[in-house]
Amino acid sequence: MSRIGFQNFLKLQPLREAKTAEASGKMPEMDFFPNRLAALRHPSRQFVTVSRVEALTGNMNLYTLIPDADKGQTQLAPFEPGQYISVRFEIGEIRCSRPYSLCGSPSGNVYQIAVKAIPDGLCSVYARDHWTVGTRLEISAPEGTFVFQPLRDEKHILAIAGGSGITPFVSMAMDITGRNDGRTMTVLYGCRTPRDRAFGDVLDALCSASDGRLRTVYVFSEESRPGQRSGFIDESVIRESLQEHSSVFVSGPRKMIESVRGALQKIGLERKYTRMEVPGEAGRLETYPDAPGEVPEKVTLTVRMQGKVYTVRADPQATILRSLENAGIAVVSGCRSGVCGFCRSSLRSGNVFAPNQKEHEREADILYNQIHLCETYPLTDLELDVTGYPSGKEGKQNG
Amino acid sequence: MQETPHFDLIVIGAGNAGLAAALTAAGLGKRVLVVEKNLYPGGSAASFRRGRFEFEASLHEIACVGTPENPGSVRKFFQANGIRMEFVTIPELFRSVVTGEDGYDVTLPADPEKLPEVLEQAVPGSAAAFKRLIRIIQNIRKASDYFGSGKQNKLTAVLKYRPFLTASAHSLKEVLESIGFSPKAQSILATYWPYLGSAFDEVDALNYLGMLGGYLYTPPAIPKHRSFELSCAIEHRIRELGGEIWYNTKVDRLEYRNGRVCGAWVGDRCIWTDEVIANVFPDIVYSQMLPKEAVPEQAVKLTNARDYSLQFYTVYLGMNKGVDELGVRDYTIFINTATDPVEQYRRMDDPERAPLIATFLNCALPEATPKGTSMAYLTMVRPAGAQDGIDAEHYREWKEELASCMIRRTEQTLGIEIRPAIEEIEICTPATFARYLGTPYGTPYGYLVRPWDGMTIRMMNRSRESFVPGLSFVGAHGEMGDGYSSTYLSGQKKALALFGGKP
Ligand SMILES: Cc1cc2nc3c(=O)[nH]c(=O)nc-3n(C[C@H](O)[C@H](O)[C@H](O)COP(=O)(O)OP(=O)(O)OC[C@H]3O[C@@H](n4cnc5c(N)ncnc54)[C@H](O)[C@@H]3O)c2cc1C
Ligand code: FES
Repeated sequence: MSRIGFQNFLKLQPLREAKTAEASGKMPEMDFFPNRLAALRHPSRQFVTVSRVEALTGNMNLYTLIPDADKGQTQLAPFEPGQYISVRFEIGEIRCSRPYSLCGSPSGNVYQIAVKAIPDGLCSVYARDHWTVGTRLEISAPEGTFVFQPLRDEKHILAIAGGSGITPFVSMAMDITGRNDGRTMTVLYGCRTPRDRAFGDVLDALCSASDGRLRTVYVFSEESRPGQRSGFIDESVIRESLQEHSSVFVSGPRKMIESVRGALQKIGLERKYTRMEVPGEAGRLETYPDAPGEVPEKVTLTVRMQGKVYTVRADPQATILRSLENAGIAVVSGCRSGVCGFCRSSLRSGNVFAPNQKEHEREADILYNQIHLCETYPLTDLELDVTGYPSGKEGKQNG
Repeated sequence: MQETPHFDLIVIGAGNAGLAAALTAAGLGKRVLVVEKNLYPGGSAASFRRGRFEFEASLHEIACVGTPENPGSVRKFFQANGIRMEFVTIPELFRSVVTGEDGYDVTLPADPEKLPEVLEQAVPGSAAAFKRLIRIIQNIRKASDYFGSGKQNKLTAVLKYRPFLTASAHSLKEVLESIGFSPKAQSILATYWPYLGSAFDEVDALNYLGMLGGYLYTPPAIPKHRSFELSCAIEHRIRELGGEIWYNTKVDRLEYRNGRVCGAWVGDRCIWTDEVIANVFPDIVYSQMLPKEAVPEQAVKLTNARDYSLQFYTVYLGMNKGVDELGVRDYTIFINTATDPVEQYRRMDDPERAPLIATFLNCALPEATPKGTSMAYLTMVRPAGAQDGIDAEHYREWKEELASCMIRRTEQTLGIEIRPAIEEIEICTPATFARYLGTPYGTPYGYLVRPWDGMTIRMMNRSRESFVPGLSFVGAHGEMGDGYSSTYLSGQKKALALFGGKP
């Protein structure tokens, strides 16, 4: 080797010492733009106060949430239309959370969520009965991937909504009408009667100010009048609203999502053009046709959560997540639909029923007995490692 | 409620190095706790699902896996810890395409026998220099075993391992030049530099050639189920061995008493321990987790003297066409715009000309996605702190523009159509990596490596630079630098050093 040689090796240590000596001895600030942006967009939790409650039609209330300055929250994380937040509830013994789509405009330092009180519901009924102006809530950062993506989606969005599934589309409609970037949207909204059209007036107002960029088509299932569409959202109704190049977004109850999925398959739309919102809370075990018929009445769950061990008696008809929450164990959850993976837990022993594991979980998770608690049912006694919310007092926000 | 026990070891962060340290210590019968702020193990070594695709978050290929008959350090590490892992070998090192006037398009095989032929064809007259290069690489590989064994003798070092010492003391450029490679051959051989982050004329040749040797002699490989399989396997084994892993838990600060770290605070709980291993940058630990008096000025000066390595931009693509239909054959394709790697380093400032790495997973692993579909990752690297000219408000538009530039460049260079096939897409920027990794600028690479701060010199200063008793560091910012093989080894070595035992 010419020009270079091992002798240079002897210079390295003095060079290192010189470089170190000439460096500053001041403790570094550790403030970097990408990290600041990450903390702003994805805080580990957020604190808000209810600033307004408005009754909507169809058993829904609209809640406006503003940053809770007393808890150090001044800025809310920005969101993309179509995303949701997970709201934490403490109801008696129970510690749980529920996802709600953000239905307001994506600009501004407020969130809006609309909560439909469902008859046998726990959290939705609690919200209706207890949330008033001044109620303080702990919520997650905006989550979810049910959002428009210009590099992937067509310029025309066909938004198919059922019932309270309209909420993400209200935010998307505000975004599209506010931008004028060539996008257009048709909202195909199925509800029982004209009186159940939550956000109908908001959508109508956006429509008339949109220069034709937003269109609405209502389909009423329990009323038929001349000049109105009635029945359910089926293949023919969808075909009429499809344009040559459309991306279809679907949000609503599980049953409705399934029937629309079937219709879209018949129409022959490729997966690239169809997006389904996560359907939410899984039902009882017995609602799955392929669920095992005979299950014990009760099983015992032994869970380790951040160094503590709990034992819980559980009903196999309920998801593991629900049983733990009912016992007051605050397990992390997000979508509650099996998709986000926040409730990922290690199954050490026992048998479970996990209906959508292949569609939702990572390959390695399946290989190593990891389960998503929100979509899994215990069939025997189980031993699990689960993840809870951070312990301790108020805690700083931002990861 | 049970009292929290006293641990032998608390590992902060379940990245590759943190997991490897915890696994090694647990294997030695120690009481181990891993504390991780994310909801999953692995840090960078992770995957995520979108629709019918499961995307790899970071892995291109792992060095030092080797074959069952000829295992490299990574395969040995898993074997030694009782983990059976199936790897898929990648037959090529890379395809390197440089666009522009004096550009080239060369695919190098991962085979020390075949490589010289290919290189000779691309750059006639390289064979002799390549022989010299192989001798250096072999010397480095032997020397690494020798210096790793811990009983060195100065005379032996100088007599037997001169090439190793020379490679430690010089940049890759200096070494390749001095053994007689033409600029084009240098350019082809230096293609991997974005994997190490430092410029061609800055990276110590030892670090680079050690990696190249790792890929040549123990062919690159990937696990079957994305890198997350490695993380899940280690997580599972740590728990089997009685170790604990707490997710969604952040260590806020360390307890420091009588001149020693002796505990870690999570929320309002202090967890007591004999040792703490941080899979976290030293500057973060020094400035945020320790009292001022625990950190000597020398420690602060050393971190301030260093620069952070590259920041990353990755576009993950799930496509409704197979690789055949798209017209791609190669797993890893480096796309550059300048033949001179030094000039190419400068071009990192400009997204239109910065280095781009396109990885088509199905070329190595056909069954990675459903029939008739495929997945690709496009990665661009830029220096830490590169200004992206964005504010928080226009982040979304900016990242879409950037992704569309990366997609267009890939399409043009390879003569294929990607855009119409996109079924799922996710765009990650330094902010995304910062969110998941918590590192400065989201860098997955640690500090820039250069001769005065290269592998050998870092090792030689090991004890001198252990500034805080009871606290050690592992990870990409550690002795061995970035990469899967380096970080696993970094964690393993540290645990062995603390708790005894042989690799
Ligand atoms: C992404 C997303 C966005 C959403 N956005 C909105 C929104 O904008 N507005 C809105 O109003 N809602 C929204 N939801 C639904 C919302 O999160 C809640 O599910 C809703 O508020 C009902 O909660 P609840 O506690 O009152 O009902 P729950 O008590 O959870 O009952 C929900 C269902 O579970 C069944 N059930 C009850 N107990 C059991 C049991 N032990 N085992 C099995 N099944 C049981 C009930 O029969 C009922 O059908 C969204 C859901 C998702 C996933
Ligand atoms: S909460 Fe999203 S997967 Fe269970």
